[in-house]
Amino acid sequence: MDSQLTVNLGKIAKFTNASLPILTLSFLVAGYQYSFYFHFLTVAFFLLTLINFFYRHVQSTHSLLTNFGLIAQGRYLIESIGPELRQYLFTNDVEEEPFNRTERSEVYRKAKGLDATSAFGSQLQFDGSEYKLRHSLYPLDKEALQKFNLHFGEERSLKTGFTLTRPFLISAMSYGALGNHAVRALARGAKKTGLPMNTGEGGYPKYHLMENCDLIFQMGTAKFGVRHEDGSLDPHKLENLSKLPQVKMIEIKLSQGAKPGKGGLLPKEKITEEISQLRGVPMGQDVVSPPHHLECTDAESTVKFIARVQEISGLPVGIKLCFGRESEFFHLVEKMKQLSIHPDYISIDGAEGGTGAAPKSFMDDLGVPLFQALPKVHKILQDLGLRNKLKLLAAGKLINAGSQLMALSLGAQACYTARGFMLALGCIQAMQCNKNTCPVGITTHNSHLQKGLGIENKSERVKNYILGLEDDHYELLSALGKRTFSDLKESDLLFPL
Amino acid sequence: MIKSYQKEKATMKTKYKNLIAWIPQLMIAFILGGAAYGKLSSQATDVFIFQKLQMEPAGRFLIGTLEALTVFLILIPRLSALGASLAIAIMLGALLAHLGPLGFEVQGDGGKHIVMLGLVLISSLILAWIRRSSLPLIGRLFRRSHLE
Repeated sequence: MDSQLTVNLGKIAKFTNASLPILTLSFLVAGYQYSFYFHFLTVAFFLLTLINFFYRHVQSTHSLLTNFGLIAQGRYLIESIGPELRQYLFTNDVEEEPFNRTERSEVYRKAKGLDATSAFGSQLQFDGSEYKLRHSLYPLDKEALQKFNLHFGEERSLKTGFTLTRPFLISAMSYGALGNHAVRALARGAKKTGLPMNTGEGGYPKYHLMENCDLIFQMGTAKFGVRHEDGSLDPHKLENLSKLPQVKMIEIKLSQGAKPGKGGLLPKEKITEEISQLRGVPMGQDVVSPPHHLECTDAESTVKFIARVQEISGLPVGIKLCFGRESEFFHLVEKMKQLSIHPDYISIDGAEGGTGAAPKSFMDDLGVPLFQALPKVHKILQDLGLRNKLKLLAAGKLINAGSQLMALSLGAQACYTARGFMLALGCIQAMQCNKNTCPVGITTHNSHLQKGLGIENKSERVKNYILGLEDDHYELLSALGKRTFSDLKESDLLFPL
Repeated sequence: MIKSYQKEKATMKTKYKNLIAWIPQLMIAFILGGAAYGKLSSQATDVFIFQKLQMEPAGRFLIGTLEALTVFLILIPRLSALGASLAIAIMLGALLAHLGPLGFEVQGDGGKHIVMLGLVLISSLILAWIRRSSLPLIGRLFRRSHLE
């Protein structure tokens, strides 16, 4: 049986629609009879009545407004603050995506250098759908652990090789996607700890270079910063860039986890003089990022392009891709073997990877998630005998030491994370990276919004996060009873049922 | 490429619109500015009018302040739609006064007030139409795309 007390929004709307003209008339009379001040209300209610009439009988784009009038605006009004209400009040600690509150606050606490322990027990439900690390009955003392070391370029005996001393790196974030304050704060934090940072595909890394940290220059499909006007590689620009002392490695981005197989469009309105210079594109016309490099149309051309970049730059050269069709990757590696050309590293970007802007279906429906892709890639490389010819990196939502160690167990040798570092900078997951309205000033060029992002202050947080993350890595490694990171195996992982 | 042509057309249209909008904007600012000054500096005619409406002096200062605020809003292109709405509301109020205790002729002015009122009302209606996509409450319904 229906309860006696019900709220019938339809009836309330009808009542409102009827009252508006009646109230207008009443105020009109009151204005002339009692006090002229009533006419303030007469005018206001007259205009509201007009607007209500317009909603109900003139416009036809919004059904709700046609059917219920002014009061239906309440829906749009309340809906517009829904994301905030959910995040502030109604969503529990472990249900938000891509990062829930417990994950975010772990990073925040690390970044602030606070105690990172939690109380009373895990908030997760262990129902067999999760990956977990298997600890050892005989944990090692911390003194027994070996320091992490990874030498890029050693397979080709490069003199210009690069040594990574932590099992993680700052992933690709370009100036353009991020504002200059955020880029500089990250780069300064990286410099303070000696961690390398990927420049992203934003062209000449002007702001990254300002802080003098080690850089991995990323070349996207449009090759911003090192392109001819037609989008092909300009060898001179690449050579000059590679000579910069800060640039330690080059990364060719073949595809990205958040939007595999998709290029992009840089609208001409966004091409300021600075962007035009840094990216090497003309002003006044849209620039299309093609879905693939002009030079790379099949396995052979891709492998040859890698060789060409290696030759021109003289630096370790990696490729970044999101794993898609297994057979294609197999052929690519086969071709590498056949031509005896291999990149110095392959970075696998999981489908859960982040981006400033991508169509929803590309984010949701395309690409293989990281933990499913990694073992396959590792196996293909092993089967074809190329596993010891190159390094394997992993990327995609790896913001804490636990998930990074899982990736290492599945065959990766180091992990990229971008959003972890954005959280360290103070990202509140407002999900507005594509709107230039980032409330904490990270993914915006609005100087008013960037004011809150003090470069020195936030670079300290980046530094704390790096040190905290490193500390966690060694803590976990000792719990797993492993002396080095390279001892981690698939068998150290509990797989979902 | 059709898209970029349309975009170009839209930006041209916006520029043209912004230029045209200055005609009613200046007109309203000029007349309302004078009216606000008269009320706030207690000119004899204004005091007479508000005595008739039994709103002297609080109502006179209130309306004068509102008029000054409207002038301020009208002259900032981003806020001029809001200014136009406010101007319409004030003029409707004035119209009610003339329809009621005030009458059409004030102190034998030959209908000067009512002519000014009409000019401001028509200008603000035109301005509201030009800037309809940023009007409060109904602006959204006129935005066909993000370009306008």
